[in-house]
Amino acid sequence: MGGTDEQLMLAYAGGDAGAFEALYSKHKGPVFRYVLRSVKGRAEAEELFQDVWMRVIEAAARYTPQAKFTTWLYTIAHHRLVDHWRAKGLVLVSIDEDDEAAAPEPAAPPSAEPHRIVEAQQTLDRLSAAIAALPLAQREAFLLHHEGDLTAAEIAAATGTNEEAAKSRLRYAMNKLKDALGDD
Amino acid sequence: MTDLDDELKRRYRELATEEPSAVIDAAILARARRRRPWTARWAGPVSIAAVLVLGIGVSLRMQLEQPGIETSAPETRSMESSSGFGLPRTPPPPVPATKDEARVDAFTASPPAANAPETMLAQKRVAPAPVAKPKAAPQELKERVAASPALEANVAPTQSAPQVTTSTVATPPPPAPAAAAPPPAALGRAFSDDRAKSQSSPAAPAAPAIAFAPNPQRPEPAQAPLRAKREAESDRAASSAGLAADSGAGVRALQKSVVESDPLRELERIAKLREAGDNTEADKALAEFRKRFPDFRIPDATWERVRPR
Repeated sequence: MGGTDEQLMLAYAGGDAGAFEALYSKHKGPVFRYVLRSVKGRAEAEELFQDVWMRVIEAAARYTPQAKFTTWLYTIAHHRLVDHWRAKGLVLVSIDEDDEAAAPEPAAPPSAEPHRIVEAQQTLDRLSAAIAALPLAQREAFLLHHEGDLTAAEIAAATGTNEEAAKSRLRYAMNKLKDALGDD
Repeated sequence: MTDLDDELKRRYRELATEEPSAVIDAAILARARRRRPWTARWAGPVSIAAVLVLGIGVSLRMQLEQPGIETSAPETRSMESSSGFGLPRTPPPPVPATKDEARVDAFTASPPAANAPETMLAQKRVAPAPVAKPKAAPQELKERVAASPALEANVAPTQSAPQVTTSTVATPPPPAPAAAAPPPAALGRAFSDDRAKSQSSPAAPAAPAIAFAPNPQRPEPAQAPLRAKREAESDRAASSAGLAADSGAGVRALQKSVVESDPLRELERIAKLREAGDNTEADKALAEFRKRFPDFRIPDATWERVRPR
């Protein structure tokens, strides 16, 4: 199934289920990780992830390619997460999240030395913890940039803020995560 | 700085390997496949709505165009009196033949272009007559016809409710061109249908050919606005045809053609000659009438007035 994301979405709106499968297989991982790192657990993330795609399916008939498909997709995901946070009574700044349970074990190459494996795992754990420790707005900006491949302007559009604020959030998040990696 | 960015990106890629479970994938894809495009979802309701709208629209239009089908005879009469022609728009249902109907059937052999209301309507709808009716003709004809109020009683003794006013005279089609004129048989059939209807129902309208005199039972003031309206319509029709035939010769020719094409009017003219004592002229006219309308059966009452003395 060829074509841009926007063409695929239009094709799906016209009744082509195969176009949706192509879109889903392309974006399911980034969207899932964006949601997973924005909530506490995997079960919660899967529920939200499913809701996001259901909204995509329901909104397909109204879809018009006014912006990038990914911007539209992550806008839906962002709104679903905001609904979730409001339902949970969470504030936007949260530094107590611990995603260790959600972080999978990376597969180690057979030839790797044991101490290297442990060291790499420790680095990833620190990065995961640093991401979880980011304020929600900064974490969201980082995830949208790295998972959704959105620019600062697109992040601003998806999260309903201005571009300068999105740039600032992204810069703060990157600095904090680099600091976490630099502690090696 | 760039090294750190790359390092962060690389590390994050190593970390970010989570995927949704296969169960979630299956559920979402199944839901996506179940979704029908809006055209399919709305096809049924929209098609039903379209059928209903079309059906109702066609029914309403049929009722508007053919009010005589579902309305009673008095209502039909009132509608006709408000219409431009004062004539039924639809052929009446078949009725048992009567003695008078058989008499009228003889009329079907002649081409009464000015007597068939159906034909008049059809001509007006299908093809505008190329020859316009002159403006002066209606007035002269009205004056002439108004002078003979007894025609109705003589010609139609069966009380066929001839409510057609003199304005009917104002709207006869001009001598119809060959392309627009229906065959004589059709004209006669239309006339006989109208006669049959008028005789089966006393309140039903009569054909205009037998009722050129104003109805004495109808109040004149009530007819005056209607007449004025009809005259205005006929004037508009004449002007829209784009042919101005205001000359006296044209009016007289038209008058003559209208009268000569109508056997009843011709009989009325002969009756007037008899009344005036001009029997020679009346005999000539009667002989001429016999030549022109050999199959026409003269009503008894009229025959008493026109027979040779």
